[in-house]
Amino acid sequence: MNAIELVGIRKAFNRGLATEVWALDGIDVTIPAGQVAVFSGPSGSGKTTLLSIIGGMARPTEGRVRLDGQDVSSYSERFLTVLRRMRFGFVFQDLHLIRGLSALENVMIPAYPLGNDWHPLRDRALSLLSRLDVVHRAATRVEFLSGGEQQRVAIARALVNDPPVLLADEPTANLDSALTTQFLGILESLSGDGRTILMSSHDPAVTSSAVIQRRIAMHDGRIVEDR
Amino acid sequence: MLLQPPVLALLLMSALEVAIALAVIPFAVSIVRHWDLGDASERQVRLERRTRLVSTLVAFAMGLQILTLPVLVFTADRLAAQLSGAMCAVGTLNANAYGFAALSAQMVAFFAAVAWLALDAMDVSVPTYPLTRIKYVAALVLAPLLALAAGLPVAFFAMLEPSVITSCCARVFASDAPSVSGALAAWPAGPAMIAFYVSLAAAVMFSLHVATGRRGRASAALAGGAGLVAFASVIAGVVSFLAPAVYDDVLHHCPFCFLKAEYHHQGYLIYVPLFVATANSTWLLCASLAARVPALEDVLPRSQRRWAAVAAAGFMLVALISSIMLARSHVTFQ
Amino acid sequence: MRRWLNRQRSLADVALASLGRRRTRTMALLVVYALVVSVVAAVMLYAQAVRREAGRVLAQSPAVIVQRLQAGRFALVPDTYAEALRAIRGVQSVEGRLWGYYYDPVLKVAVTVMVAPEGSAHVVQDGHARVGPAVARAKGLSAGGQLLLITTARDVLRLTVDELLPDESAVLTADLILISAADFRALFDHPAGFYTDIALSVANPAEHRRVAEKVTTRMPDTRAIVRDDIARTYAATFSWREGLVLVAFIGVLAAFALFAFDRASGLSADETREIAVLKAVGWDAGDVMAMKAWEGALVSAVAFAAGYLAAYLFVFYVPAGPFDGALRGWTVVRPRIRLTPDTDAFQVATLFVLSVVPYTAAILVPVWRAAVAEPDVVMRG
Ligand SMILES: Nc1ncnc2c1ncn2[C@@H]1O[C@H](COP(=O)(O)OP(=O)(O)OP(=O)(O)O)[C@@H](O)[C@H]1O
Ligand SMILES: [Mg+2]
Repeated sequence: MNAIELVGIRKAFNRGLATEVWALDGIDVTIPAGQVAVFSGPSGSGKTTLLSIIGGMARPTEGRVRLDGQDVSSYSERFLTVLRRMRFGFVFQDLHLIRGLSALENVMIPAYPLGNDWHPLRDRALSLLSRLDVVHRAATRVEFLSGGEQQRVAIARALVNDPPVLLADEPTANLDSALTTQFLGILESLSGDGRTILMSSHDPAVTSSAVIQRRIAMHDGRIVEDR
Repeated sequence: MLLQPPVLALLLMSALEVAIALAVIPFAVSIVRHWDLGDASERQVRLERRTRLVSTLVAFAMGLQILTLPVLVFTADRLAAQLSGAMCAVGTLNANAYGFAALSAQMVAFFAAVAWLALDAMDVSVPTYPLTRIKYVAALVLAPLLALAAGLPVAFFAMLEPSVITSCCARVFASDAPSVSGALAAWPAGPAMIAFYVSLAAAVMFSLHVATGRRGRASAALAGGAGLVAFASVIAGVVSFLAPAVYDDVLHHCPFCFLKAEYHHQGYLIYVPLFVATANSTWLLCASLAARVPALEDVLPRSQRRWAAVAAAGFMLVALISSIMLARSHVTFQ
Repeated sequence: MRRWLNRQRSLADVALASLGRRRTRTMALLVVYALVVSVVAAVMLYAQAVRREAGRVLAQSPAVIVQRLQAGRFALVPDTYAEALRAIRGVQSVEGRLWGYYYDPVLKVAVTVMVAPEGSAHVVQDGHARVGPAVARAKGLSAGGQLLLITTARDVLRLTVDELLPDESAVLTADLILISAADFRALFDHPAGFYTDIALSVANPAEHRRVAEKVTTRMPDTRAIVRDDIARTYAATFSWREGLVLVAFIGVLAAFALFAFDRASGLSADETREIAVLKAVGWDAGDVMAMKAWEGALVSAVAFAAGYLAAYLFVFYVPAGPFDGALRGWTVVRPRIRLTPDTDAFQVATLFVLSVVPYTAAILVPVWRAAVAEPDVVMRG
């Protein structure tokens, strides 16, 4: 079972200073493999922080994270990284594509440290781009792509190592309604592959979408509703 | 004597090695005292990040030592023109007590750094970092060794007096000289050759044994130990018969001259595979020590096989190349 | 192995692209780096070539030179000494030499006046002379011209210049005037039956010192100079001067290391973000460091090659570089020599240690610091 379990997760910033904040304040949640879930809630409720902790990009101040029953909370950075690149694909709110590189190179970059052969890797990246309908832009430098194209490149990049879990932070924040619909279509197809998809969003178009199987509402670092 | 470019280069490397040694010590102490993987505190995260720096620094120091060895030999060779009695590197290194000490210390420090990096590689290959404490205790031993190896060349050049008459390879490695080097040269070619080939054969066989299957600690220890023995006997063999064979001169025992252009740099053909193979033997030895740690049970055998394969190949190459050198030589040994 | 190669190749690719994206920055670094390499390389190449040249000169000079001392000062050697020297075992040939320094009142500089040894191709007839290239240049002489020298007795010695001495062994011949023995004696009022000094040739190099010792024991008023001793002094002096010049550049090297350190630690916001993105998408700190190492290696390779090449061209194809004075000493009639290109692997290795090693050391810590930066900044806008 490819489940993500969070137990008693708390996260403080600026601990011990006057500016101390508890971005997360006791999160207990289990997400079974293959589920499409969205964390919603007002700004500052801790959605981004929670996704970073799940994805191994930040450590909880307290609490445990278990992946498939394995406690990874005290993993060293090196092994968190290994875990991250095998298990998680990220789509950041600001996309964070690397300017100056082509769409194709951006998609391939997460796989570089693995040392796989180049041609199969490029073919996989191209097939992802074509599945996401941007293959015609593969050789274009990313800064010349439109917002929607950029996002699809970012999704392709998140998928290049074929991770079982996709994490997306506010994926539709910069998209118009047509592109949002298109994005939800992509989600549906990815979910069809059996991938777990976790998102944060306060976009009603997303939270009310039929693709979403579970809606978790947050407030002040706590889960207030889960259905 | 200090104001010459190659000497300046050596001094620069020494200074860097000392700096690295000094940087490593306080950090190793704090790791030994505070390392706790179960702790997710900021300090532990910081410590972990610093370990990356230490690994890099030690690797850099090892690189510096690799560079120091030939530069030291060639600097000595060049300085020979300025010392009475010296005709090549041996004469210069022999001009005071620190020359050969510096060379040997650099070699020891090199293999120590290699061994430490092996520990490091094994340690970080499993999430539990089972060797971290041991590794940093070892670093506390390695750092002074690095500093010593760095200091000796400085002492050597500082004490180098152009007016002192030194004795050169013809005399140092002359068979009647009352010293270790003299004894090596005096070692009759027959027994030296037997020791040379037998130890190489043993190293190759034991290494191949480890390389071809999943073997226990004893096998790895045996292969590693045999490799170190082979290293010593190859050096002895070079002085005793291989160098004279290359020079076609039974009285010329110098282990450095054949690195020079006059002899088409043939020495590298022996020394490079020898050092690579011995480094891998050192790893095998470290692996046999680390194999106690249960966490490493899964990862060790694979790396062990690879190291053993490289060691075996290196020693085979040494045997092959030296045989060719012997076959091409016109010298006949009794 | 294959994985390793693939990984290195990809990392090098990314490194190259990253350097290309910051073209101005990279170029600035390259230029400074190459400049530093070329300065150090020029000093070393120059010193080595001059050393080699001096060695060639020495190789032609006699094995042992015998001078006579009287009351601690040089005195002329009577030709009877030559016979006595010939009797010493091991001495192959004995040759009395006539030479001296002539102060030229017009040039205000001393030049060497010499009589070519008997039987040499340069023996000149009475009333004739051959001059070295530097003298010819300074005095505007060419073959067939007139050379006027003032004798000790204030007479004018009129000599016809036969030919100019060849350029190739310029260190030796630059400030040289060759004249006949009779003209020499007239010029310096040099008594007949005396030589300036005596040159011995000794067949067996191992016996040079022994022969010199015998000379001084048999003739206590002489001093014997062995060529090897001169060679040793020369080698030491040139290397010492080279070292001295390099020490003067230690400041430059330190400044360069500081510059490299500063470059490597002052990452642009773009670069910091890129590294965070790479880490966020699954690169380990080790991968980032390896990529940065590639950047350093690529920069170093280009800068080293360019700097070395520039120094090579500068030293061997631009006459009289700025190091001339410092390395060889000053003189008006400076030999204008075209140095013979001469390098070896050891010299390249030394240069490498003096330039690439400091660069690498300087960027080590900044690279590490960049590589272990938190990736989660990319999650925040
Ligand atoms: N690096 C940080 N340093 C200090 N405070 C932080 C940091 N990151 C987040 N916070 C604080 O933690 C709280 C939760 O932030 P987080 O970004 O997780 O909220 P969010 O739900 O994603 O909000 P938004 O909808 O605006 O993205 C906020 O109060 C924020 O100010
Ligand atoms: Mg957010």
